[in-house]
Amino acid sequence: MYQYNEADRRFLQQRCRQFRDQTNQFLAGNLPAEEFQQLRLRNGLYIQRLAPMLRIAIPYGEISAQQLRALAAITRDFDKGYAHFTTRQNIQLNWPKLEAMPDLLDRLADADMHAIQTSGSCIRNITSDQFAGVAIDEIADPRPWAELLRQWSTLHPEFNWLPRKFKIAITGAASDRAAIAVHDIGLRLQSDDAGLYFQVWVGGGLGRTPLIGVCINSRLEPKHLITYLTAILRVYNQFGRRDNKYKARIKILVKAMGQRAFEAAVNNAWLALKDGPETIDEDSIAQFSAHFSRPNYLPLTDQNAPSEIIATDQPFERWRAQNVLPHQQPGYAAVHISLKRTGVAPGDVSDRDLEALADLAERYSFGEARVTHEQNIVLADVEQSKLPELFMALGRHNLDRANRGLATDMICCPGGDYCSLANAKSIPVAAAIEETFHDAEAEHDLGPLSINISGCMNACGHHHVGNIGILGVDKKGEEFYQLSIGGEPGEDARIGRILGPSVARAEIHWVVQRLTQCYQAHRSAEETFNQTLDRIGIEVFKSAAYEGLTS
Amino acid sequence: MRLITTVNGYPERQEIDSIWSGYDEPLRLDDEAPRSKAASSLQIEADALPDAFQSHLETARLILLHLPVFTDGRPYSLAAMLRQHYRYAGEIRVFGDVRSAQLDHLHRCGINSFVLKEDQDAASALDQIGYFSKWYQPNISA
Repeated sequence: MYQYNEADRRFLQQRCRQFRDQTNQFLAGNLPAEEFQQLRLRNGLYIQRLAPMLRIAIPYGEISAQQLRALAAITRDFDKGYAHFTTRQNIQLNWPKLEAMPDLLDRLADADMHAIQTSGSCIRNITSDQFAGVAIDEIADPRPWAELLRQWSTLHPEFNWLPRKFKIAITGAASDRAAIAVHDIGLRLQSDDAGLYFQVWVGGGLGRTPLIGVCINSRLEPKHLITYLTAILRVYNQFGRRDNKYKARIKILVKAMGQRAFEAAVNNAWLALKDGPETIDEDSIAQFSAHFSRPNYLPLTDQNAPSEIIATDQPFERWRAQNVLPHQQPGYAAVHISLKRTGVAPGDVSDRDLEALADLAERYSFGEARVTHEQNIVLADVEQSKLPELFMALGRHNLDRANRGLATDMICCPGGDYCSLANAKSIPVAAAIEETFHDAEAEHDLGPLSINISGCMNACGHHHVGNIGILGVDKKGEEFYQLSIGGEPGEDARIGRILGPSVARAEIHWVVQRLTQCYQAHRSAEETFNQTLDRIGIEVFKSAAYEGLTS
Repeated sequence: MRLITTVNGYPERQEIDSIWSGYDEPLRLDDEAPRSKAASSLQIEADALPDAFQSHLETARLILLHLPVFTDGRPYSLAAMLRQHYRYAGEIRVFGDVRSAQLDHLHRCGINSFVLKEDQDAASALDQIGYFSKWYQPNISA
C-alpha cells in the first residue's frame, strides 16, 4: 500500500496545526460559526443529532494493521469504543467532542491517516475495488491511479469550493465492484493493443435525483487523467448550480446541458490543460505503481479453487463457498469478512473487533486489510492452506458469518439513530430483516440478493441500487418506508423502481419477506431476483408485497 | 503580491473601467474611461464568461475579481483560466468576501493581490500563504 514519506507527514502535521488554530479561534469567538463550519467539514467533522460525527478517510479502502489498531485506540480514547464503516470506504466516529478534535486528528496523523475532505463541497475520498491487485478479472490495478487522484485532489486550490460534494470511483476489473456508474466521476481502466486507457463516466449519483452516469470519453490515455479531470471539474465549478443545493450536483448540470454540450465544454476547457505541467509522465506512474507491488507471495499451488467447492452442512465449507474468492496468485485466496452480524448495526465494529482484524491481517494477509463499499472487510492475500485456521479465528470474534452477497449482507446507513438528516431510523429495520432471514439454510436457498437501506433520500445506504431498496420517509411525523425493486450497482447499473405506497416500520420486514417469497415462487433455475422481476413484471411483486397489509 | 485593506472590502471605485458579469456586455463603463479605449482594468463578476471580455485582456493591466461569498468557487476557476487559458499575466485582485483562511488557495490559483474583508486581520492573512511546506498540485503563477 502507499507509504507516506516525510513530506506527506509534514503536510498532515501542518494541516492538523491549521485546524487546531481554527478550532481555537472558533472557541475563542474569533471565527464566525458559518466559516468554521466550512473549515471543520473539510476536516471530516459534522455536527450530528446527538454529538459531532467524525468521518475518517480510508483511501480506496486500503488500511494497514497498524492503522486498524490506531483506530481502535482512538475509539476508546475519544469515543465510546466503536465505529461505523460507511458505503464510501470511510469510517465514522459518532461521539467525539469538538474540543478534542485537534488531538484526535494528531493521533490519526501519527498513523498516516486523516479526515481531509471527507465532507464539504469538495472532492471526497477516492473509492475503488476492494479486490484491487488480486481479482482474477482484473485488467489493471486501479490503486496507483487512486492514490495519484487522492494526492491531486488533496487541498486542490481550485476545487475546494465546488457547488456540491464530488465523488470519484475507479475500477480496473471486468466486474465493477466500485459502482462507478453512480458517482460524479466514474473511471474504468481498460486495455487494448495500444495499451491502457480510461473510460470516463460522469453525472451518476444517487440522492434525490438518482441517475446513471454517461460515458463522455471512451478512450482517455492515462497520462491525461489529471488534466482531463481538471477540465471536468472546471466546467462543473463554473457552471454547476449554486442557487439550489438539491440541483447542485454535476449530474444535474450534465443533464441540463446535455451530454454532447457537456463533452464539448470539457474538451474546450481541456485545450488549455492538455499536455501541460500536470500531464503524468512515465516516471511518476512507475513511482506510484511501486507502492502497490505484489507482496512476497510464497510459491504455492492452488489447493482446490473455492468456486469448485459445493456448500455442505459443514460451517467451514459453507463459509468458504460463500466468503472466499479466487486470487491471481496460485495458492492464495481473498477472504471476505462479514460485518453484518446479529445484534450489531451493519458496518459497526468495536475497538476489539478492530484489534482482532489487525491481528488477523498481520497473521494472514501481509498486515493489510480492505474496506468494502458494502461495509465489510476483506483480507486480500490469504494462503489457501490457512483458511481453516483463519475461519476458526474469525469465529472467536463473531466475524465468521457466511453471508457475502446474501439477504442479511445489507447496506445500511446510520439513519435516524445518529444522523440529523435522516427521516427515519434504518438500523432497527436492518435488525428486523436480519431476524427474518436469520436462518442460514433459508438465506442460502434464497441466494444472492442485495437489500439496501437509507434513512433519507440522501441515499447513503444506496437504496436505489439495491435489488430491494428501502427508503425512510416521514409521514406526518411517523416513520414510513418506501420500497423500490430491481436496482443494480455494477457494470449493468440501474435504478430500482418504486413499488407502491410506503409501509410502516412494523411491517417492512414482512413486505421484504413477501418479495423474496414471490421471487422464489417464480424464479426459474439460476435466475437472479432482477431477472425474475424483468421477466414477470413489477405488478406480480407488488400484489405479493401488499397483500393483507394494515397500513 | 499585494495585500490591500479598504473600509468595506471593495476596491476603490476609480480603479475600475468596466464590470463584467454573466453573458452580458459590460454592465457599465466608468464615466471617466473613454468608450473607444480598450479597458485597462476590468471588474469580473463570479458568473462572467471570459470569452465575453477576452478581447480586452491584451491591454488589461488589472483584473478585479469579485468573490461574492467565501463559499463560491467560481472566482478560483476564473483566475486559473485567465492564467492558463487566456495567458493573462497582469494583476488579478480579488475582492468581496475575502477571508484569511482562503488566501493560500486563492494565491495558488494565480491571484496576486487581495482586498481583504474589513474584519480580517492582515498579518494572520499573510501567514496563511506559505503555511504548508508542500502542495500536491503545481501552483498557477502570474
